[in-house]
Amino acid sequence: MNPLLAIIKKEIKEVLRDKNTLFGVILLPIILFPMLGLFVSSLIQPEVEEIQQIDVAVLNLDAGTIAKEILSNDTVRQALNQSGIRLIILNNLNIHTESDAVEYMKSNTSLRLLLIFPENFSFCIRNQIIAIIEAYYFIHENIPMQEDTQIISYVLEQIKSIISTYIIQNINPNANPVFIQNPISALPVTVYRGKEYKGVPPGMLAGVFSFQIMFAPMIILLLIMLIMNSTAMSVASEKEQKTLETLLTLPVKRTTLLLGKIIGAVIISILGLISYIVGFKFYIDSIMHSAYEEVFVAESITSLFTLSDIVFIIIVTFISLLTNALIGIIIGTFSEDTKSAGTITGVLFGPIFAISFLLPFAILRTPSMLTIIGVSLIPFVSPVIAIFMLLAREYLLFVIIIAIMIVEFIILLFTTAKIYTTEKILTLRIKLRRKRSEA
Amino acid sequence: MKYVVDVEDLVKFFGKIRAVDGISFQVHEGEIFGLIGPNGAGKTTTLRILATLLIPTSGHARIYGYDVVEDAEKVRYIISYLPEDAGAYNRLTGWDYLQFMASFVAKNKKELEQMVKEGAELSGLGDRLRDLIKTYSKGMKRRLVLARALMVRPKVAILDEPTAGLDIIHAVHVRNIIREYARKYGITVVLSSHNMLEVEYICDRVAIINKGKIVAEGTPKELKEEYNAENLEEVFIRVIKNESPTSHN
Repeated sequence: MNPLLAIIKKEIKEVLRDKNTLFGVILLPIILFPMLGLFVSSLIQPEVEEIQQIDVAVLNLDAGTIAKEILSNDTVRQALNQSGIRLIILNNLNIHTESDAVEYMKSNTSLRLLLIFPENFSFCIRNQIIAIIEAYYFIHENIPMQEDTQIISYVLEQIKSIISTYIIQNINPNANPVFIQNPISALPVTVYRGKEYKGVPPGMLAGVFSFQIMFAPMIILLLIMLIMNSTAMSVASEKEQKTLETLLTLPVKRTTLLLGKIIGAVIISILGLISYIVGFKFYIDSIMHSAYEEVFVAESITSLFTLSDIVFIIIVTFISLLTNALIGIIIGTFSEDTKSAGTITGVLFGPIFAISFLLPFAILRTPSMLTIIGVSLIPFVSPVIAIFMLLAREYLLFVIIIAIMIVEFIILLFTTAKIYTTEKILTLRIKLRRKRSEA
Repeated sequence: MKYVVDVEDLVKFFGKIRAVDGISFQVHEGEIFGLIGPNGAGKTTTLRILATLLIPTSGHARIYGYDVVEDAEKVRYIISYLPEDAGAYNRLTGWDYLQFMASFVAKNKKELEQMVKEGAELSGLGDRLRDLIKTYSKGMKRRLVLARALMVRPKVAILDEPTAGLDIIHAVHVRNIIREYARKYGITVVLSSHNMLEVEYICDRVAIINKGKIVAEGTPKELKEEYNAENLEEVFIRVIKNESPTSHN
């Protein structure tokens, strides 16, 4: 008979018969995901208000004179400057076509917004037809996190008001008021990683990508918690049920016992993962469909992750799961029973979630190689940062973080095996108790 | 004569506490050997060392010639250990538990089924084996874990307080099983107990242990004669009170 298989089977059977664990696995995503969504969106939003000066590139293709008159008017420029908008007329830089303008913007990372006044601009304005201005938004970062969802509408509102004034003062003060209020309309085009997304505002694209960026780390963190809890409970429950001593005297290698517990926990975590994904999808579907149906149009346009990204994410997840299974086993070893193991993991989960989720986002705003490596030494944070580095195409840092994770896993494996293969698994708790009583 | 269990000058410290203080004893093949002594005398520590759970500070313990430290894995193939407060997995049924435990010893499915069948009979739990263990009484659990320890027919069974906390009916059941099973299959048994009458009934030989040292050793009959006592309880009290065997002659 295969002892490893017997242990794995027993571990799974025990967990699946525990109503509390099942309840936690199913209930947690329903509570956690909405809270997290609100929290992260509030984290990303405030950046918008901090922008003081917006440089806006403008390409004037107007065959008439109105666009040129408006754009070169000093009063107009002053008014826009007061609103924090500085126009950079690309025509003055000897750029005269849309494709040249797009190429220029791609290479100039300080510029994000490009407005193209169409060839028929003057014709439209004179004939009270709404002119369509293409509003290009360039996402230069590999990870779109801080995209200003309001920037296009803010700039266009200012320009719209100037054009309205221009129409009243210079063209026809008795024009249709509806037209005067809305002389132009914007066609948003978001450019990301060289791809143009016509009709997709940057905020929407960033939203879709943020969702994708958050999804992988979030699932990993939840899995980490699940597996840590699962192994901690498994060892603590052996102590509580007084089965550990018997188990340790069975004719099976202690490392096999350890492996059985880890594999059992990995299988339970994967079962949990399926529940989480179903719960998460249900949650996202319900809120997205009501608010942003078009997001799914954008989502269908592209996926942030390539196939190799997904393979690397699976590798990161797997290493992280094994490491945290071992941390759980160590926690279980120090715990007297399942209650104390639950308390320890419960106390840890809050900070783990906060640190693992907030720290990488904070670091990405001011990335420094040393800080990233330093923070990656924390076992729960490293998988999240590794994924961010992967998406940011920082392959060197990604490899360094993976190396850190592997080293941490080996150290923990060695420590846990040492605990399991010596009498420490029985005496560690005794020592702690004594220290407590001495204190 | 061949020694199955050979303990030689065994010492175990927990920090500054000397739990076992240089004890030596031998157990012959097929013998039921009892360690008796007051609480904290070092019985459980000695049995845990024999079961490869603890490492002695000094001294040696060998089972069938295998050192319990150096050859711990080999020793685990020979022994079956029943801890004093052994429990079972609450969310498994009695059948699940016996199957799980048998799977570490059985070489094939047939052997596994045979072991589980034997375990079921030994436990005497009948249809209750289909229920989750969390619904069992303490006595039922003890019968189950004892059945687990014996169903694999180990060469050496190490039983720590096998009847502790059991009512008279369960205690008699467990006692009879140990005695009958050991005789039937020639299993060598090392057990500890507080219950002197039980030890007198089951054991071929006993060692009285106090403050980590063996203070008297022999068959129940020999000890009773030596201390001029009617039963082992009297022997125990006189030994613990440090009375000389001759003072009663």
